[in-house]
Amino acid sequence: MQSTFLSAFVLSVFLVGSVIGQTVTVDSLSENRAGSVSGKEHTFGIDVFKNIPYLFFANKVPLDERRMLLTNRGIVELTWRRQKRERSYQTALLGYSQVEVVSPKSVERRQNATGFYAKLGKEWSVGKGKAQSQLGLRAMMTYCRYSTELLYPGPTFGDYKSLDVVHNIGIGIDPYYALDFSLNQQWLLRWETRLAHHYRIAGKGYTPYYPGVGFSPGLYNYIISPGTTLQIHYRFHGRKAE
Amino acid sequence: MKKLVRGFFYIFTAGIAVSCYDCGPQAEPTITLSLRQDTLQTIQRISALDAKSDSAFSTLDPGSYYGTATLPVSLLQDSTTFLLYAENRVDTLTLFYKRIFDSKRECGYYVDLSAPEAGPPFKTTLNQPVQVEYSSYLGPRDFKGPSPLGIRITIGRY
Repeated sequence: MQSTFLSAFVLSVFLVGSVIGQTVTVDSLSENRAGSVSGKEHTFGIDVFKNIPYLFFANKVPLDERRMLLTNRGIVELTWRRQKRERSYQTALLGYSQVEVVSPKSVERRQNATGFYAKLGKEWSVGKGKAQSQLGLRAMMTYCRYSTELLYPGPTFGDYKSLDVVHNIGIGIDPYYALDFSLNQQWLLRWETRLAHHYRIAGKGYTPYYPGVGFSPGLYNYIISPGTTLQIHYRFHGRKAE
Repeated sequence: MKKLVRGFFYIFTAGIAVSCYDCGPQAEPTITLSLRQDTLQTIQRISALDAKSDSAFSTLDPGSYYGTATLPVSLLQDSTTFLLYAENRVDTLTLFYKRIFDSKRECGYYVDLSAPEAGPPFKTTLNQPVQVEYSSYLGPRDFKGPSPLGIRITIGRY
């Protein structure tokens, strides 16, 4: 399993590396950010995108050839960034997520997952001159409670029903690439794309959706999931106009 | 690069291993009941206490030397009492087992039956000898061998 974990990590770094190559030319989006080094800024942000796609499906998304339905999903994510040096930042993220996974033809009829997660890391501005392209790496710790309603059909003697509750704890890394768009001197729009790697150190069972990581059907202790989202950040010590 | 190739190899091998694993029933398990020749002549029909339906109780195969029947067992308790109907009497055979509801990587959630932790494996009013063998309903499925067998009951003399 360690070899698999390492291999997947190498693969993700490889993928992120290939993304860096595509982003050097996007610098014209916020030229006025060049003067940001005059004051060390820190920003608070909130995720404004992850719940949107589900609302288009009335929060009921069919998956796995309609054998599974993802419903009642909700995510709250708060982020914080603090500038350390001219081109590097400390970052932190706190999140809460819940989802219901309904599988009418499976033994796991309904699974209710709720979880908290914390991510800490560092990011670096990449590209020449303009500094709105960021490459980051966060370490993460997660807690996830999976409550599963089980039903084993019993046509002769009666169905067996039970509720299985599993508490999962995991650790992982979250390499990401972000593009920052300055909306004005206080507000910043961030487009972030990441590839989360997560290893469960306590708990058991399949987790089709894991809070803080994402949708990961068919994976067990080690899960990997890509994702992209938008965040709105507010600068508390914004840059000074030049 | 070597580690990357090795990682893909492990994933591929794990995929093969998972595909050859029998995860047992995802519903009421069944047992195999074998009746030796002497018993086969006397038992005409089988049913069970607390059964909502008799349709699952297969008829015996009188053409074979050993009559065999596949019978469902209850998941609601750790025993099932079978009713064995002969011409002028009804005998009972109560099978005891331990239900296991759990999950594992190869299967997700599963159900399995094992021998009871205490007490006898069965209780009966039959005059014939009864033999009960417990084996897991889950396990790796060999390409050459049979699937996991589960519980088998044999009634009658050799």
